[in-house]
Amino acid sequence: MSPSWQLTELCLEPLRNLRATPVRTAVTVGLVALVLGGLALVELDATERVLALRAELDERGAHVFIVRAEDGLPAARCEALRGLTGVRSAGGVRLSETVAPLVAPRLRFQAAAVTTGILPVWDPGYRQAEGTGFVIGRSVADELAVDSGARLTLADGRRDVVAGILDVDDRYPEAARWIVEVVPPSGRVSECWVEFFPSASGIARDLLAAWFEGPGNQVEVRWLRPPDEFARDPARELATRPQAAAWLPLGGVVGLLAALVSWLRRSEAALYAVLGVRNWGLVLMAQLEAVVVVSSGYLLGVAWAAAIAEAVGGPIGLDQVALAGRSAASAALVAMLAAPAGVIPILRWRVVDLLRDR
Amino acid sequence: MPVTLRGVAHTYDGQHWVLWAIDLDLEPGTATAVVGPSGSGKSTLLAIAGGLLKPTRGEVRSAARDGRGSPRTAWILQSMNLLPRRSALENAALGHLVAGGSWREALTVAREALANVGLDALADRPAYSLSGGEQQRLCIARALVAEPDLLLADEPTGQLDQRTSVEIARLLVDVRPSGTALLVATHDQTVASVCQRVLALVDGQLMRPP
Ligand SMILES: Nc1ncnc2c1ncn2[C@@H]1O[C@H](COP(=O)(O)OP(=O)(O)O)[C@@H](O)[C@H]1O
Ligand SMILES: [Mg+2]
Repeated sequence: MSPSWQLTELCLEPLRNLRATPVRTAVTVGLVALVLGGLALVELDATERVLALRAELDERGAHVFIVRAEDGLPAARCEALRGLTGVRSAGGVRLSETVAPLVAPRLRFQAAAVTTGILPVWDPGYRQAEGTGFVIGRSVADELAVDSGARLTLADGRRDVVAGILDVDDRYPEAARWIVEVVPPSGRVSECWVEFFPSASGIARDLLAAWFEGPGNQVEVRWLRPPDEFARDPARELATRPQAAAWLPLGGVVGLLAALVSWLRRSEAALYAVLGVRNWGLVLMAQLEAVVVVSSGYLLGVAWAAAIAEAVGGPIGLDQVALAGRSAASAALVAMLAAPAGVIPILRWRVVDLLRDR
Repeated sequence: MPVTLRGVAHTYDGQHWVLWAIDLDLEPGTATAVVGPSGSGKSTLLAIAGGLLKPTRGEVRSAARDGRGSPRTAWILQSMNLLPRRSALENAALGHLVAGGSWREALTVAREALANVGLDALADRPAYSLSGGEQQRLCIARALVAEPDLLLADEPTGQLDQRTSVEIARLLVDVRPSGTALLVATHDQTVASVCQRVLALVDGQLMRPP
C-alpha cells in the first residue's frame, strides 16, 4: 500500500459520495436543519419576548434618571448632557406657582419652566405641533377642551398658543395637570431629567454624579423607576432562558445521529480501508462529510427558522438572528465534532479482519 | 520480484498453527491459485503476502516492480467490494486514486478498463444494480486501473454460480497487467485451474495438488 491517495482526492471523495446519494443526503441535511432550525426558532422566540419586555420597560422609563441638588443645577449643564453618546435626551425643570386659565379662574394648574430636552423624557412620543408656546399635559387639554394650535390665556395675563400636548401617564403622571413653558437653558433648574439608552444605563449614576459634581454641591441621582420596581429583568431572562444550554445536548444528538449513519455505512469505510485509505484518512473523510452535511443543515435550518419567525411575528432584527444563529452554530459545532465517532469502531478493525469470510 | 515468503508460520492464539513452514515466490506476471477448504488459512496467507498481517515466524520480502519501496497492492474480495450507489465507472476509477492519481485521469483510465472487462455499456449504472458476475468484473476493472504489482483475490467467485465463476476467473487471469503477480485464494478447483500454478493449502502447508 505504498503510494497512496492524494489529499485533494481524499477530501473530494466524501462530496462525490454525497452527490451519489441525493436522497440520503437530502434526508440527513433536512434532519439536521430540523433540529438546528428548531433550536434557532426557540431562540428567536425568546429574543422576541425579551425585546418586547425591554421595549415595555423602556416605554415606562426604565432608563430615566432624575438629578437634584440642594440649590439647583445649572440648566445649561443639564441640556449639555444631550451631546453625550449613551444619552437619549436630557432637560431641566423649574417649578413656578400655580396658574389659572382666564376662562376658568377657579381651576388651578401647576406651572413650570422646562428646557426643551425634557419633553421627550417625559413623553417619548412627544411631538411639538406649533413653533413655540405653552406645552400642556393631557389632563389640562381635556379639562379646558383645547387642542394644540389653540390659544390659551392665563389669569395673570400671559397668552400664547398651545404648542404641544404631553402624554405623561407612563412616566410622570403628575405632569398631566401642568402647563409648561419651554425656556432657553440658562439659570438654574430644580431637577434634571436624563434618559439613557439601555446599553448605557449601567454607568448612568456615576456619570451623572461626576457631571454635576462641584464644590459644596451635594447631588442626588435617583432612578425614575428603581430596578426592583420591575419584577422582570430582560437581561436576566435572556441569560437564564432554559434553552441557553440546549446547544450541547442537541449538538450531541445530531452528532450521534451522524455517527450512527457512518456506523451503518461501516462497510463503505472498510472498503476504503481495503483501497488503501489509512485510518486518519477515514476520519478525515467522515469529518469532511459531517462538516458539509451539518453546515448545510445549519444554514438551511437558521434560514427557515428566521422565515417562520418573520411570518408569524413580524420583522426580526439582525441581532436576534445573530443570537439564534450563535446557539445553533454551537450545536452544529458539537455535532461536527461528534460525527466522526462513527468510524472509531472501524479503526479498531484490522483490514485483515475484513477479508475473513462473513 | 514482488513477494517472497520464507519459512512463514502463523498462529492467532499461540496454540493452533494456521500456517506452517510456507515458502512462496510470487514473480511478476505469474498467476498462482491457492486452494483449500474454508478455514484452511487461505485468507491468512493472503493477508501476510499483502503485508496486512505480520507472520508469527518467518520472513516476508517484498518490493515494487522497480525494486524500490513496497509493492502496490490491489485486493478483490468476495463481497463488500463496491460503493453501491456510485456508478460502475466511478467504482472502477477508485483504483486510480489508490495509486495516487487524480479523479479526472481516473475516469479516463476506468473507461478503458471497463471496456476490457466487457462492462462499457454499463458504465453509468450504479454498482448495486449489476448482477453478481458483473460486480466481480467491475472489481477486476478497478484492480486493472490500479496497475498493481501484486493482485490478491480472496474468493473472488465465492458468490457466483459455477459457470460464471470460471468465466470470471479466466477474465481475471487474462486481463491482468503483464507485470502483475496474481494470487487467488479459492475453495473451487475449477476456478483454481485457470491459473498457471495451483497450490493446495493442507494442514498449514503448501503443496502441489495430486
Ligand atoms: N483473528 C483471528 N483470531 C483467531 N483465529 C482466527 C482469526 N482469523 C482467523 N482465524 C482462524 O484461522 C483459521 C484460518 O482462517 P482463514 O485464514 O480465514 O481461512 P480461510 O480463508 O481458508 O477460510 C481459521 O480456523 C480461523 O478460525
Ligand atoms: Mg477466507
